[in-house]
Amino acid sequence: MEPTLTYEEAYRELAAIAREIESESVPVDVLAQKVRRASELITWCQARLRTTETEVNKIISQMDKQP
Amino acid sequence: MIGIDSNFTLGQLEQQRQATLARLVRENPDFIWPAAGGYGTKNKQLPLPGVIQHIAVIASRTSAGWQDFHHTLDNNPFGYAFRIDEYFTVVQGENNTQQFLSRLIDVFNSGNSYDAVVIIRGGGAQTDFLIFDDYMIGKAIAKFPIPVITGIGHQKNETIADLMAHTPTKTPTKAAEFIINQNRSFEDSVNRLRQNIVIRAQQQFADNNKALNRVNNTIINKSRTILGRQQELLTSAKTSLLIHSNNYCRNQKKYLDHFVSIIKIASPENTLRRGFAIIRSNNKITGNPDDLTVGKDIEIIFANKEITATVTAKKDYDGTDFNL
Repeated sequence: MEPTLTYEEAYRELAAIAREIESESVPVDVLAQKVRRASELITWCQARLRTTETEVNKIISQMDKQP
Repeated sequence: MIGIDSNFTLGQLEQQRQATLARLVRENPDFIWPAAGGYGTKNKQLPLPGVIQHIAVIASRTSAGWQDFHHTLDNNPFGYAFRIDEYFTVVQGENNTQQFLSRLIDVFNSGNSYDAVVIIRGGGAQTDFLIFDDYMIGKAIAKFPIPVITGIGHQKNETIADLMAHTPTKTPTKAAEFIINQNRSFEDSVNRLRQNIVIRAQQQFADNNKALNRVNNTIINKSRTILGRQQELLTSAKTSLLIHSNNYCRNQKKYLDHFVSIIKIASPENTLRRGFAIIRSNNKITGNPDDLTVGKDIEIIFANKEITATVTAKKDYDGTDFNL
């Protein structure tokens, strides 16, 4: 995955692929390629989300420990 | 004060107080003006910091009010810490006006950025409040660049100092409580923000997760649909190909079989079996009677026999025996 990718960009690309597939405008020749890219993007987004959530939860629990 | 009729004195004092207030408004229009329910002053317009921690206190060292104020702040139930700088003076009696004013100026000149200046006093007779009705002190408070909180401990009318101050409270204890409450409100608002951040963050995670799952499902389902449809098309193409090619082959085979049977029917074996015979002369098959002259030896070939014969006669034949 591109090192400079942001969550927003990844999600936008993902949504675009989903729209293409939804409207069935993807030729079969590139379907596998598109689905593979979508799968990579989803995995990346989920990992990103999970990392951030863990981080935020850690910060919140530290916040709660303070009086 | 012995020998003075106190009723008379208080009436006089009130007149004097009204006169002082009128003079304050008249002579200092830039920072004192009449407003609904009292007076507006520059000091009242100063924003009070959300957290009041660094405080300058003008009080009498020995007064009970100072002790009350200090005690209330020190024992606040929330554990807030305060930095209190003491500016002790004698806070009663008209004659100490100058000393009081110089303490106020000390606060200003200290170079400390105080969150608030607190003026307190505790106990004493009504006439002891005269210092707080002083023109110069009223003017100084109205103009002072740090919010002034008063806790002068009076029962009846507010003093001029109270009217000019940012926040007047009735007693030193109340002044301390006001400060603690101010800090408490700030902490509450911070806690509310913290709570909001937690809720919003979780909400955002939930929303993003939902959106991702939705996209994921769309892609999975739709890809399957696309592939499924193509698969169907392929299957039906395959089926029709199979059917048509089978038919084609079957038809071709029928044509072939037809030719085979025709050919079989026409084969010499079958012809011989049907009663026809082949005539051979000079080792050559012939159907021409001109080749067969009388006296010539010929072979007559049947389906499974061969006869050698000699031509004994030859005549014309009208060919009507087989006329069906």
